[in-house]
Amino acid sequence: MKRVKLIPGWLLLAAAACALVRPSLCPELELAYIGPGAGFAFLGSFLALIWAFVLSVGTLLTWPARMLWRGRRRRKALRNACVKKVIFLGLDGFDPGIAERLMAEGKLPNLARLRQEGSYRRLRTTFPSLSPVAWSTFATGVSPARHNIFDFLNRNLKSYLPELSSSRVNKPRRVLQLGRYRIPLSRPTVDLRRKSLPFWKILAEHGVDCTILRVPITFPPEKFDGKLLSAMCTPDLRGTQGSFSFFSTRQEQVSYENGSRYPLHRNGRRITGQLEGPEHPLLEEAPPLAVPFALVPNGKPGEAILEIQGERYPLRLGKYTSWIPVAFRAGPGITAYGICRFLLTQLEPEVNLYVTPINIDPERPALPISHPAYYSAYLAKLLGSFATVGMAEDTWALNEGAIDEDAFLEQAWAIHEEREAMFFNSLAKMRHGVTACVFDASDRIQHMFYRYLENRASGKHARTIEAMYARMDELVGRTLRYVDRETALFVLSDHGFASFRRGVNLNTWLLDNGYLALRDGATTAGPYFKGVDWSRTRAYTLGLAGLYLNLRGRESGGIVAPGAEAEALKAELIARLSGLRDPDTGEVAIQQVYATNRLYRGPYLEEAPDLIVGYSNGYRTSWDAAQGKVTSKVFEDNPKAWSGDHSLDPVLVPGVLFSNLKLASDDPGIEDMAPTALALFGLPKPAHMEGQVIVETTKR
Amino acid sequence: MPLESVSLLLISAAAGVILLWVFRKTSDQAAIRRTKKRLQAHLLEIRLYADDPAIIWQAQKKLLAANARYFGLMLRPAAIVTVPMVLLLVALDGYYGKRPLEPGRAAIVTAQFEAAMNGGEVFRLEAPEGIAVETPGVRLLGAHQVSWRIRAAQPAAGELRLLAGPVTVTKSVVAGNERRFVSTRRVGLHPSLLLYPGEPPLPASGVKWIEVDYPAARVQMFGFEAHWLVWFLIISMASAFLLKGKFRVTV
Repeated sequence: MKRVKLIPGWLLLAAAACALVRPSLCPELELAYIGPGAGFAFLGSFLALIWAFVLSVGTLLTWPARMLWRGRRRRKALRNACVKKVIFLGLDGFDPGIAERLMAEGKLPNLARLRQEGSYRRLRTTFPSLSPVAWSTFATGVSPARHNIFDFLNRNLKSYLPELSSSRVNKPRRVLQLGRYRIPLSRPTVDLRRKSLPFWKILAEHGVDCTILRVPITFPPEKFDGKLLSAMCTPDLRGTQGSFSFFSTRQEQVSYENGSRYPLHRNGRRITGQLEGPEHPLLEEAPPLAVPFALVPNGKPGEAILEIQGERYPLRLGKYTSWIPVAFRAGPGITAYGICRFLLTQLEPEVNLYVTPINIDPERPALPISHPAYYSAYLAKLLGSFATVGMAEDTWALNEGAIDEDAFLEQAWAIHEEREAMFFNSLAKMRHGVTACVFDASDRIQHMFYRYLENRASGKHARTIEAMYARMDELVGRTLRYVDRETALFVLSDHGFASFRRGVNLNTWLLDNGYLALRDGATTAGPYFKGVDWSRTRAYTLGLAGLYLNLRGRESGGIVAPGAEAEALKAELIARLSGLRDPDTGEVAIQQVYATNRLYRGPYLEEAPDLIVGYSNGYRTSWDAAQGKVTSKVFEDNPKAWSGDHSLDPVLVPGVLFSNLKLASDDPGIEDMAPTALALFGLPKPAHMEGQVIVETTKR
Repeated sequence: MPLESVSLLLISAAAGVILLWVFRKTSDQAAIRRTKKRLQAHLLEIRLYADDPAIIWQAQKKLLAANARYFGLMLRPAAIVTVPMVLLLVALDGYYGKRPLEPGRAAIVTAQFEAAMNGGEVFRLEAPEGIAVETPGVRLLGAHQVSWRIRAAQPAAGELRLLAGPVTVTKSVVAGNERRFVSTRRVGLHPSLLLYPGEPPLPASGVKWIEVDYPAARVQMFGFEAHWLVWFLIISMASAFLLKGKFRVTV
C-alpha cells in the first residue's frame, strides 16, 4: 500500500534525488521537491559537507607528510626555541609619559602588573617618528635607509609631485583602445616599496606559523607561508587613502581636503543621491561609477529608511549603520565591491548624511589585501565585515566638521572591536608561532582629542584619552589570558605623543631666507609646489618631517651640486633651523635638525630626505607645508581637531615596550623587535639587521 | 522540441521564479546570509589551518552546527511553499508523469475497500468500449483490495464501473497514444483528495479508492529523456539560480 508523506526540507529533496535516479522506484516521492530554495539549501549544504569532508580527509591524510616536511624546516627553529608563542600587541602612539602617569594613579592595572612581573622600558623610535617608518623598522629590524620608508609621502623626482611612499598601484600595462573604451589586456599590479625582509618571512621559512594583522606598510601583502592582513596605506575603493562622502540637501559650496560633498535632492518624500565610487575602468573621460540611493523618512522622529541596490536599511539620527555592501558595476562581469557605513547627522530641516570612505570589501577584494588572498574573506565571513582602508578611522571627517566627536569615537571603537575580534581569533587558534596585531585607535584618538588633555578644549571629552588608555589596558588584560610560561608577550608602541598647537611652514621660511624661489614675483605657491621656480630653488619640504635639497642629477630641476656644495648647504640649514624660535610665542619651534646621512646607512639612503626636522613639543610641520604649499606666514595656529601629533623630534616621543620577559637592554629600540623575535625561535640575527636581541634567550 | 517539453520548460522556469520570490518574502534573509558565511568561513578555516588537526576537528563540528542552523532556517519557507508546491506537482504529475494506456497495453485496476471482505461478495468491473477486462477480480483479503487486469484495444476514454453488490462506483480511464491528463486514482472525501484532484470524490460506498496503474511517462528535452520531475527540478533551480542575484535572494 502506498502512502504519501509530505515532509518539508532536505528529506524531500533526497526523495527527489531518488526519483531522479529511478523515478519508478518512488513514484509518489516526486511530491518531495518543494522548490529551488530548499533545493539550493540541500545542494549547498551537501556540497559544503562533501567539500569539508574531502578537505579534512585530504588534510589529515597528507598531514604526516606535511608535518615531516615542516618538521625538517622547523627543526632548527623549534630545537633552539625559547618559547612556543610570541605575541606582539601593537598600540600605535601609546605614549610612555601618559602611561606612566596613569599606572602611577592605578588606572592601568594590567600594564602595571606586566611591568612588575616582567619588564617595561621606553622604546626608541625611528627618525622620523612616523608610523609607516617605525612599523617598517619593527618588521624588518633595519633603519629607514634599508627599508626605504621615510614618510607617508615621497616626492616624484621628475615632477616633484607627492607619491605614496609605501606602495604603487600600476594600471594595466597593455590596454586595447576601442574608441572611448579601454579594454585592459593585462592586470593592474601593485608594488610594495618597502624593502628588506620582515621577520615573519624569515620565521615562516623555518616553519614557524605567523599571523600578522594590520601591521602598517603591509600593502600589498607579501607572499609567505603564513597569514597576513594588510594595513596602513591600503587604499579605499576610489584609490585614495580614505575619502569620505558628505551628502546634504543644503545647497552650498563647501570643499573638503579629504572628502567630497554631494547634493541630496528632494523628490516628494524621497530624498535621493548618488554614491560615487571608483573611476570607470573601461570608459575614458567617463564620470566615476556611482550607485544611486534614496532616503525615505519612516514617519518616526529622527528615523529614515535607506534604499540602496534593492536593499532597505534603517537609519537613525546619530547612529551608524553596519557595513553596507555596495557593488559598482562597470559592465558585464566587471564589478568593484565595496563596503561603507552611513550616518544620518541631520534630518530636519535639512538632511545631512555622512558616508565613510568606501572600503574594499574584504569578502570580494578588488585589490589584494591579505595573504592568502582568501584570508580577508575568511575573517569577514567568520567575524563580520571590517574596515580595510589603511587609515580606517576617519580623522578628516572630524577635522572638517562632517561628523562630530561622538561619531568619530563611535567609529574608532567599532573598528577597534573588529580588530580585537581578529586578534583574539588568531590567539585562540595559535598553538605555536607568532601573532602580531597593531591597534590604531590609540593613535587616532590622541590625534583628535589631545587638545582636551592639555586643557585647550573643555567638555565631556576631557577624559577621552584617559579612557582610551584604560581600554587598551583591558585589551592587554584579556591578552594575558593567552600568555603562559612558554609565551613571550610584547606590548609596544611605535612612538609617543605630543601637542600640535602651532604649524611651521618651512617652505615659507625657505622662501623668506632665499633657499626657495617663486615664479613671476609671486609671494605664495599652491599645493604641490605650483608656482615654484625650481631653477632658483635649493631646498624644499614635503610631507611631515623631511627637508630636501634640490640636488642636481637627482631631482629633475636640481641645481645644488652633490658633494661639497650639498654638504655645505645642509650644514647651513641645520645651523639656521636648529633652535628656530616662534616669534609669536617666543618658544623654540625646532629643537634639532638631523642630516640623514649621519643617522643611518643603507642602500636606499639616496631616497631619504636630506634633513629630518626635529620639532619641539607643540610644533609640527604645517598642514600647508606638508602639501608643498608656500604661504604668507611661517608660523600659524593649528585650528583643527587634529591637535596631537608625533612628527616632532623623535627623541621627544619614544614609544613603550612592556613584556612578560625580563629585558636585557636598558635602551631598546623598535629595530630590536625583529631580531628578538628570531632569537626567541632560536634563529640567528641576519647580517643585514641592525637591531639587537633584547631578551635573554634560554632554550626551553 | 515537443510541445509538452516546451510547456514543461516554461512552467518549471516560471515556478522557479515565483518560488524564489516567495522564498525571499518568507525567509530570514539576514540570518541565512550570516549562516552561509559561517559555513564558508569554516570551510576556509580547514584550508587555512591545514597543519592543525585540532582546529580542523573544531571547524568540522562548527560546520555541522552551521549546516543544521541553515536547514533550520529553510524550514519556515519550505513549510509555506509545501502546500502550493504539492498541488502544482500533483497537477503536473497527472499530465507529465503518466500516459494513457496505449492500444495493446495492459494495466492493473485496484479497488481498496474500507472494511474486511468475507470472500463471498461479488465484485464486477465493466470497461468502456475499446478497453477489455481480462481477468476476474483477484482478492487480497488482508489488504481489503481487489484487482483486475484491463487491456486497451483502441483509443478510448470513458469510465470503469465497479459493481460491488448494490453499490456501483466509477473511475475514469483513458487509452490512446496522445499525451493528456490522466487521473490515476479516484478517492473518497479524504485529505488525500488534495493529491488526487482529477476526479470528484467517491460517494460513501465502502470503496476507499480505485486506481488505474497507468504506465509512467518520460519527457524529452535537449536530446535527453528523463522523468518530468528531473526536468522540473533542473529548470526551476536553474532559473532561480540565474535570477537570484536580480531578486537579491540568498538561498
